[in-house]
Amino acid sequence: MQGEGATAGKLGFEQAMAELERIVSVLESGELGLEDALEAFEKGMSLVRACQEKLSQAETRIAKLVEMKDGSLATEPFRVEEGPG
Amino acid sequence: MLTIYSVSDVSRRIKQIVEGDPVLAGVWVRGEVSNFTLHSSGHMYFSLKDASARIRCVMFRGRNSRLAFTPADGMLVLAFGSVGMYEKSGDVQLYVEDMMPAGTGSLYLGFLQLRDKLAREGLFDQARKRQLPRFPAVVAAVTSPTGAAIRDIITVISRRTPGTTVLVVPAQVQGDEAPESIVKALDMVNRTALVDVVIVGRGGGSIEELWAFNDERVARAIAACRVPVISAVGHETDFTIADFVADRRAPTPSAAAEMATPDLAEVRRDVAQLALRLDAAARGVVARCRERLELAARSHVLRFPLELTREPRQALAEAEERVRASVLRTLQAGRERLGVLAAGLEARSPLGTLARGYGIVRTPVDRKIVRSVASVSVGDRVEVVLADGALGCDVAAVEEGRPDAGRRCDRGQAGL
Repeated sequence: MQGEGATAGKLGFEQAMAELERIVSVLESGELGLEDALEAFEKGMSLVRACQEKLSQAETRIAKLVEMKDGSLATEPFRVEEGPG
Repeated sequence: MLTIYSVSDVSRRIKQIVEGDPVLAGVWVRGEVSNFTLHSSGHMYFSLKDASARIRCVMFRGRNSRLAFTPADGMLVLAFGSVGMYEKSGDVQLYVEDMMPAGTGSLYLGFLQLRDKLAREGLFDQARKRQLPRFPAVVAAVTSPTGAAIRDIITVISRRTPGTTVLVVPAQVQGDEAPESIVKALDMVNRTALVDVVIVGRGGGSIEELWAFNDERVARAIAACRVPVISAVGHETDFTIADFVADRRAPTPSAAAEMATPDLAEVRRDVAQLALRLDAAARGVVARCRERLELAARSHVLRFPLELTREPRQALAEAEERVRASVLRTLQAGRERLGVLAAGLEARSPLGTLARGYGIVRTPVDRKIVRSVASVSVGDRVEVVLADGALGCDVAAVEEGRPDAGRRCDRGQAGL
């Protein structure tokens, strides 16, 4: 099973948000020259799009972690069953 | 020889024997409460009895105010204290320092001892506790695969942050095999790189059913977990050892799921807010650069003629180059709008003006521009700067009145 970190352009959502916040902060500081500022803006917008795309995923994935005979770990589909509380 | 003792002497001897005994100096006693009285002073007076004996007890207000329960006649309790003698009444009494219901007896004592031991090791320290990730991609749940807990966790996470993955790590959550099972599950979580945060717990139950979460092995496995742990042991008031060790404690599995994930609507708003700030900040930078360009352009227009200190032709070329270079620099770094502005600048530049055939008239000594026919008289020497050089001229005539199109202006004007 791929970790969610594989999408959003190699950045996980958490990292994408953190990077976006950092870019906004630098831009607002007024320290950047015009060329750098516009580059930062473009990068920031692509992060915004990536984050919004991730947020639009509607499905919760549910899996079960199991240990195989050789000791390695794998995931299997999981179904909620009724049982003793 | 018969030794006759006073009452006080005898009493004192009994006191010394009783209070000198090492066991009675700090002893746990199990017995049934009877004749319980809460005095107006706040002190508790009662007896502890069993089938064949009874002993008087007192628990002073300072101690009994910390009791987690209210003693009553008939209750089976464990009392800890020291035995002493109150000489005035001749009563040998147990001075009780701590007391608890005897139902869970030694189990509860063991819990207290383990709690104190782990606390002393620093396992409960606030400094150890980690922050939960803000946007976990994978939430692991160490719990029974068939209980209400996992259903609740899945329901809450599906509602709050649908894109999240819930990774169920099945474990027994009560019974003798439960501690080992939980430890094994946590170990599996540690061995996989997938997980961002883990919830360990179970649904509600009696204190006996939750007891696996007071196990030392479980506590150490939680402490050794590589990712933040939320304990969710399904009890509103009682805390288990797992609750103390975990990075966060939730009273129920549902509450744990809410702690673990952000609310989707809120996150959406945060992203939108950042996009707005990003746009505003970028516009701000462009606006400031445009201001600086316009400022530079204006000052160049005014200053340029004064820079003609050397040979006019060379000076003109240099000035033209400076303006052009400045404009080019800005163009390179800028965007379309700035390019338009720069083009507009060139159109207003005096270089363009000169190229179109206009001249700039100046007084030769102080190089002030002559804008008005009133500032010169007949016979004055003036300098006329053209696109490719300058002329020294003497004013032959002065004529007032604005030139209009079609009328030749060949006196006191350019082209002389």
